[in-house]
Amino acid sequence: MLGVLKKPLRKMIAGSPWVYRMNTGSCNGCDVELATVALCPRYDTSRFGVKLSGSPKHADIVVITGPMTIRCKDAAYRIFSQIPEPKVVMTVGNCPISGNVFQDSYAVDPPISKHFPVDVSVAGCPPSPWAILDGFVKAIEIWEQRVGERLEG
Amino acid sequence: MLIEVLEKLLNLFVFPGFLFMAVIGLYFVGIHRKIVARIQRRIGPPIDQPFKDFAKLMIKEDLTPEGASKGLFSLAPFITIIGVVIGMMFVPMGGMEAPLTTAGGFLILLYLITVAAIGVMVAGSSSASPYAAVGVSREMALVIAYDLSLIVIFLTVAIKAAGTGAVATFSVSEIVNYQANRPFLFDLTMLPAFLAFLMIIPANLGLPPFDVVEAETEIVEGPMIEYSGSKLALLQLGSAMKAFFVCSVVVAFFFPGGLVAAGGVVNGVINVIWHVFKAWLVYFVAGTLVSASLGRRRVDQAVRFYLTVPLVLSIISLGLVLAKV
Repeated sequence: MLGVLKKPLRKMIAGSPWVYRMNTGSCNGCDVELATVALCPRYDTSRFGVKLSGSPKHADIVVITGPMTIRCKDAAYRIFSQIPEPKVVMTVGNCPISGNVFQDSYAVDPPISKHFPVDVSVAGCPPSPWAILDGFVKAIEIWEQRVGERLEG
Repeated sequence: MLIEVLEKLLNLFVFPGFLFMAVIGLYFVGIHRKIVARIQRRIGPPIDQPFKDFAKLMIKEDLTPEGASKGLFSLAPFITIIGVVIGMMFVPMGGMEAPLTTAGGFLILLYLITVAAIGVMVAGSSSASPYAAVGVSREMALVIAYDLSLIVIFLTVAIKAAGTGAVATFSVSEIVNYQANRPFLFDLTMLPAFLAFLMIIPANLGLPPFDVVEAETEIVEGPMIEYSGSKLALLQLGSAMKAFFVCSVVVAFFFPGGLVAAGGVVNGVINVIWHVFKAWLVYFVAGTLVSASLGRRRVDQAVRFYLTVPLVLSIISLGLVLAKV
């Protein structure tokens, strides 16, 4: 009985990824692309069920921008631990991948994958809205897998 | 005796109680989000999005913050749901008798509408978060502001429906029967009270322009901030069910009455669908259209608004009814 329900349930749950944005010292370039271009009404991500949540406790997909500055490392770890399982981590921009222009600075500690298990990385400085949307679609695919694993127990 | 108890339990859990309200309420919210999106020229989420969100939240990890009072934190989501389900028991739908009828059902309704708000307050104040505390204080201020006009509206309806002889009737079924041929909606003396009730709906359901309690962009969901997983799902379900409950109360007070004569299963189903449609119409006019077109007010503006416009409108209505115009 439950086995039959699992597949439609998984499809259903996959249609509700809530996004939480975390800025770990980004220059705001990626945030502008992300918040005011990719998540705006024109490209309307709410058709995938995406909802921007303000609280990390409501998040399913956490979107990280910035190279992880030393000063915000502690806060980032604390916020990340408040996001309930299952979750998907997506990074936007070159900074989370390599540190980009800040990479040799004493004040940053890239890459993000050193700190958190990153699933999707969108490269670019800043990436185009279409690249970010593509990243969202890939993140939602991974989210569906995670949901499946969670349902299997 | 046993059959009667079983029937009441069925009423409580299936129709018109928990299950029915949950499905209708979640669809109300889904249609609301879709229409708001279309008004804002977006594609918008599918209509069954609230169901997806509910299923998602049910499988998510459930976190309880340190410093929260654990008992109240897990109890709070149920307060709203229980309040509105019991409230619905007193609301007659489409010409049928309500499952529970008493001489004072009317007063119980008035208090159960507030209980739904108390659920949110308990949720916020038990979760040990400053944002939640701000949300709770805002909710309290709003409830105090709109409850005054709500009481005046209820009194107006009670006095109007008493007919000759009695001063007021507090039985919901008498109020509904009184309107069999003359719905209060088409009565000029009751029109200000109806408008005042419509104005209360956005604050009561936490919709813009009076969504100061949840205000995502300033106090990040307010009382719900610390909730996750199944408890958050129940809180959202409660607020969706409350939408249907409050709109049903408006329908019962101002334009009850079925589409076809009562009696028989088919007519009953048609009447219930008609009632749901009317409740949705109330939600559409007072909730969807208003929230799609207006921005959020500050909390002091909201309180001032509720202590002036709806209060004055409802008092005008009360005066007209008392003067028997």
